[in-house]
Amino acid sequence: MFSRISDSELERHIPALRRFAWSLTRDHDQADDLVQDALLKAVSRWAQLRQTGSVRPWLFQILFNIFRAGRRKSRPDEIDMPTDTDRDHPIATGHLDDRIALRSALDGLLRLPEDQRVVLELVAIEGLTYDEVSRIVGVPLGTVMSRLSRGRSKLRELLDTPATGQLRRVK
Amino acid sequence: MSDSTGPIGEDDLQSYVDNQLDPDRRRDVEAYLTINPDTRQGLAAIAADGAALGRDADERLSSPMPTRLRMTEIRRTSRSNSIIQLKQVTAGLVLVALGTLIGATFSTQATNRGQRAPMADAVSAHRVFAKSPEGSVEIDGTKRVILLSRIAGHLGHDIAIPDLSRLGLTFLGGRLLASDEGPGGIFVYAENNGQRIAVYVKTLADGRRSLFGSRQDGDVIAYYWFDGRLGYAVTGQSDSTLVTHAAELVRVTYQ
Repeated sequence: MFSRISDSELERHIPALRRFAWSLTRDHDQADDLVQDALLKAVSRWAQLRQTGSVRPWLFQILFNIFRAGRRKSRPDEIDMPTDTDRDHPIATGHLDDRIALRSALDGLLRLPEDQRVVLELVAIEGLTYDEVSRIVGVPLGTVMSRLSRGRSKLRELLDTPATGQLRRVK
Repeated sequence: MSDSTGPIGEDDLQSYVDNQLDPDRRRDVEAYLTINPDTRQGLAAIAADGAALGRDADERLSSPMPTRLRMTEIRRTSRSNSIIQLKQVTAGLVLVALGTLIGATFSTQATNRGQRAPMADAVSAHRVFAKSPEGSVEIDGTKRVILLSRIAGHLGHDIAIPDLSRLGLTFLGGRLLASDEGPGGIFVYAENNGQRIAVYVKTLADGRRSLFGSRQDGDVIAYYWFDGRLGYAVTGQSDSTLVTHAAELVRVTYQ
């Protein structure tokens, strides 16, 4: 770990970083800005990696921290993902008919509250471990688990595919 | 994540979907799902959602990667950023050098301390008085009161002997020293493996203060700080795992 990270090692993770950055920003240019900033930070701070261990969660953590720091700066009134575990967050757009318009699982994901969406995305799409997600997001493991569980059941309600025969309505 | 015993909980079910259970617990969950078909169906739907998310996510990647995200570009940008930073640092250093030069020219009290590494005297003291396995202490650890009064009188300040026994260090004793700024003293401790850790204290010529610093000099590492009255250093073999802890403890003692 004392040698510099190779470019090919970093490059392998760029697609996943772009994917995650896009879901945070919902804008291709902003997402790529975010990835660029994260990579610049990564190459200048590679020595940090010795404490962190593996490259992938470390890169996600850098990117997510930059995203949060940038948002604090640009939108001081809308900061802070809710960090409490108990409150049930309303779904971003709450009309029943929205369900019909969902074209894909991804559309459903984007309707989840951000704290649940981030955790679900890191676990289900990026395949990171709960421990890694806990470090990236900066919340305890138990919070990761409860966000994951709530995110999944909400996504399930949103998609409400006939496959399971469930017809629970979303309120 | 999840207890590996006890009833199956929501955590276990999530961990099952994400394949993050240990084999034993996984068997437990599978047994549970056999007798709870509704839950099994629910989990299957969740897993299907996850797979769908993955497929959608892959589609999202279809936009080509912009050149600026290629690592060759990132390295180039990083280099030009650091050249800008280097220029700023260089500019800063030139100012500092100028200041030092002016200061030295007009200073009536030019000492050679400025050119020495901080606490080089502590490192020398460690080499001479602490490093030898016999440990040449002047007053041994059983005569704490005598040692204390001698050192306090010598320094002109009250000084405690740090208690490092909770790190497993044995206090061997100490001695008076002359530092490059005036009176000093050293307390010597032994690690279980026989290596020495020393606490070095000296009076200051200029009442300076500093935060915690550290410096490695050959095989000796020194942690040091200055509190305006005295300068402190904790020295030990650089491969010792205890020096850092000892330094922290000594710093708390002298706060």
